[in-house]
Formats: sequence, C-alpha cells, structure tokens
Amino acid sequence: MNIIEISNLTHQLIGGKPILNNINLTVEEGEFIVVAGANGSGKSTLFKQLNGLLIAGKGQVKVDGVFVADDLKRARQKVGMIFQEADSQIVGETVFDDVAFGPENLGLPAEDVGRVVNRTLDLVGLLDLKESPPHILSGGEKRRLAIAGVLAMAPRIIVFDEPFSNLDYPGIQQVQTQMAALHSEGHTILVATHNLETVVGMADRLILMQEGEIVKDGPFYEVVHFAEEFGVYLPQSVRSRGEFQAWLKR
Amino acid sequence: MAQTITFHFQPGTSFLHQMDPRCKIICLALVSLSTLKAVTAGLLLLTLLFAVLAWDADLPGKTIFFELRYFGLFLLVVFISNCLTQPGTPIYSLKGINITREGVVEGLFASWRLALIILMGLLFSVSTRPKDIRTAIEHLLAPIPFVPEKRIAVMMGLIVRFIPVILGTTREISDAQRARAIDQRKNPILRMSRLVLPVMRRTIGRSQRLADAMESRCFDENRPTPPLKMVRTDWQAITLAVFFHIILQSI
Repeated sequence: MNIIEISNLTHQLIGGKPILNNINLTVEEGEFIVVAGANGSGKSTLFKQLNGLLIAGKGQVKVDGVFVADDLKRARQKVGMIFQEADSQIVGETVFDDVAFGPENLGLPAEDVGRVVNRTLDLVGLLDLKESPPHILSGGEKRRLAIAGVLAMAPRIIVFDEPFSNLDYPGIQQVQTQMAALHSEGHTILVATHNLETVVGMADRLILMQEGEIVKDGPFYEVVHFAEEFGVYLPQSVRSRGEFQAWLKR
Repeated sequence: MAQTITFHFQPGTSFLHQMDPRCKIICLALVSLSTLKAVTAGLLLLTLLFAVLAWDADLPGKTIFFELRYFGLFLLVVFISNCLTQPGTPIYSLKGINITREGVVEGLFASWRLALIILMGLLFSVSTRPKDIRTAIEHLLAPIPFVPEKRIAVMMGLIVRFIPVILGTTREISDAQRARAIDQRKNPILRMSRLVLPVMRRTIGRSQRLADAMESRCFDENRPTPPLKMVRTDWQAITLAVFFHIILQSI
C-alpha cells in the first residue's frame, strides 16, 4: 500500500528557478528510504512538502490517501519531522515539556499526555533526564529528544533531515539504533543524508537528487554505485576492493 | 555537555514544591516588596524565612553560594557605590573621595535586600517547573483585557529555553573571533558589532527553524491552558505573606 504519493510536484520561488522540478514518487508503507544529493539538490524542500510546511504551487502530495494541503493537522500528525539541527527543534524548557508539546497540541487530556511522554522517553532512553533542561544534554541525547518529541505524536512516517550532522560516533550509533528500532516496528522511514555510510545495511531504497529532480531511484545497493556521479560520497563499505584502490590512486 | 546554569528546577517534595505556582508568584511579589522597605528586624525575619524554606526545599548552602558568585560581584558593586555616594560622616578619605558611615550602613542594607530578593527568586525557580511558571502567568494574565496571555506565556517559555542556546552561540562566535585575533582591534564598538551581527543573524535563522519545528508539531496558539488548583495551604500562604507584608511595612 502506498503511504505517500507525489505527482508532478514543482516548487518554485517567485522569479527563481524550480527548487523541485516535476517530482513523481510513491512510497510504500514500512519502507526505509534514503534521499541523497549535493547541497541545494532539493532534499529538505521535498521533505517539507510531506508535512505541509511548504505547499508547492504545482502538483499534489498525498499522505495515507489524503491531500496534505486539505488537512494539515492530519498530515503533521502522520508525518513526524526530525530536523537537521536538534537544538532548533526542541521547544520545551525541560525534556518532559518538550515531548509533551506535540500531544498537547493534538488536544490530549493531561493524564494521557503524561502517560505518552513517559512511555516515549522510556523508549528513547531519556526517562531519567525528564526534568532536565534540554541545554545540558549531549548532541546524541538532543537528537534522541527530537525523535521522542515526534514519536509522542504517534506518526506513521518519520522523516529525518540530515540526522547525523554534528554528531560524534556514540551519537551516530544512538540515532542509528533508534532508526532501526522504529523501522522494525513498522514505521516508514525517510532519511536525507550526505553520509551514506551511516545508513548502509538499514536502507531498502536510495533516491538520488540533483537540482530539484530525482535522477536515480531504486534498491539501495544498485543505486549507491551512482552516488559519486551526483555529488554524494560512495561509502567505503560498498566499494569493491578494486574500486577502492582506484579511488585511492585518484 | 553544556554547563548547568543557576535558576533551574530541581525536583522535590518540599512545601514550596507543592504550592500552586500562582500562589508562589503572588507570595514572591509580596515578599520582594516587603524586602525593599524592611530594616534590620524585618531583614532578619526574612532571612530566617529564607533559611527555613531553603532547608525544607533541600537547597544546599554550598550550591547557593557557588551558583550566586556572579551576583556576589554585583552586590559588591552596589555596596561600594553606596559607600562612595551617600553623604554623611566620613570614616575614610582619599583624594577628595569620602567613604561615609551612612554610606556603609546603607550599602550593607541595600546589598542585603538585593541578596534576599535574588535568593527568594532562586528558591522560586528551583521549586517550580518552568512549565508551571508559564501556566501560572497565563492564568494570572487571563482576566486582564487586551493582554494576549497565551502568546506571552509561549514567548516566556521560549525565552527560558533559548537563552542558554543563544549564550552558547555567542561564546562560540566570540571564541572563533578571538582565534582570529579580534583582541588586537582597539575599537570596542567595532569589536561589539563584529560579535552582535553574526549572533543576531544566527538567532534569526534559528527562529525560522524553530517556527518550522513548532508548526510541524501542530502548534496552535489557542491550545487549552492546563488547569491549576489552589488548595487550603496555598490560601494560608498568601494570607501569611500579606500579614508579613503589613507587619514589615509598619516596623
């Protein structure tokens, strides 16, 4: 079943060239998709269309059978977005308050909010820090808090925009673990990243973008070999030995 | 990990922790007003009140002094400025600058009063969850016409959340500029403008991303205000604070 359907989507700023140009894309429920491309290729703009943060002038975006523009609240509940910079996404004065922000906006009663927040914090391993102010958290913990804030709204699709940027190795591992767990629970995962190495072994499908267009779309291990053509670093772990030596000589 | 800053909530079960946040704000306002006019007996009484409440809230003295060390400098400045500016009987003179007995006494009182207000504020913030402060302000402002209480409450919450982030950004930019020898520039206005402009640029960029993040989590300005309930002890505390205020005004 297609949970996301995008047809003929073009997003253009007035007088500028298209940021997204005639995008057609379908995503099946439960897929793990990586969207890669050089800076300015349109990955973040594409993701913002899924959540209704941007509405394109041309084309249509459907999430779970409903046009995003017709019901923004529903779209935002279905599609959880985790932004590149966790610090800008955390709005609560404490860890608990931040995770409660979404459920409160959805109008959940206070007792339910408390229950949902505690369960979600437990899930991401931050329950012990629930009374802490977010600024004392490490980079990995902040990213996990951002994930918890989204999970508390019970989305079916989770969109990660450059989730590994500015993270140390333990931080990357923490986010990878969360992603894998969410995927195994049946969530549809979309990840925009430059660093394909971090998603090797997890992703089912890879979409390469260039100048607002989808230039390659297919199974991860087939498409990944085209990565360098479109300005994305090819992970060492998928290079053959010969390719790797040629790359080193180059 | 960023540094922990003063004035943030610490969970507990003390009397203050259990008080309604609206009641705490009203009591804090009354006690602060009382402090401004209090003299020796009143200040002693208020200091005793602070000590009892701090002990009950399990606030270690060592932590208080460590966290308030920068306020200590501020209090010292207040004391010195009083010593040097109050007219009266000189106890020490140097090149036409007099330190007067009245100045020393007034400086001690002014510092004591300010210290008490800061310490009461500290007690309030360590015993009240930021979200409860926000809710209390929303409730207290609600009866006032033409005041957008929900918007003010959200703004206050965001200020509390983002002050450490903006301070971190400022420190980062300042370090980067010092690494490129900004210290060598003698003009303080130029140095300040080189710091302020990038900080503002990054803060404005961050506010745009924050707006996106809030919108993506279904933010609605008119979401219901969480309920608060005053119990008998809250009313008793307010009555006691009013009584205290009247007594201290009359001393």
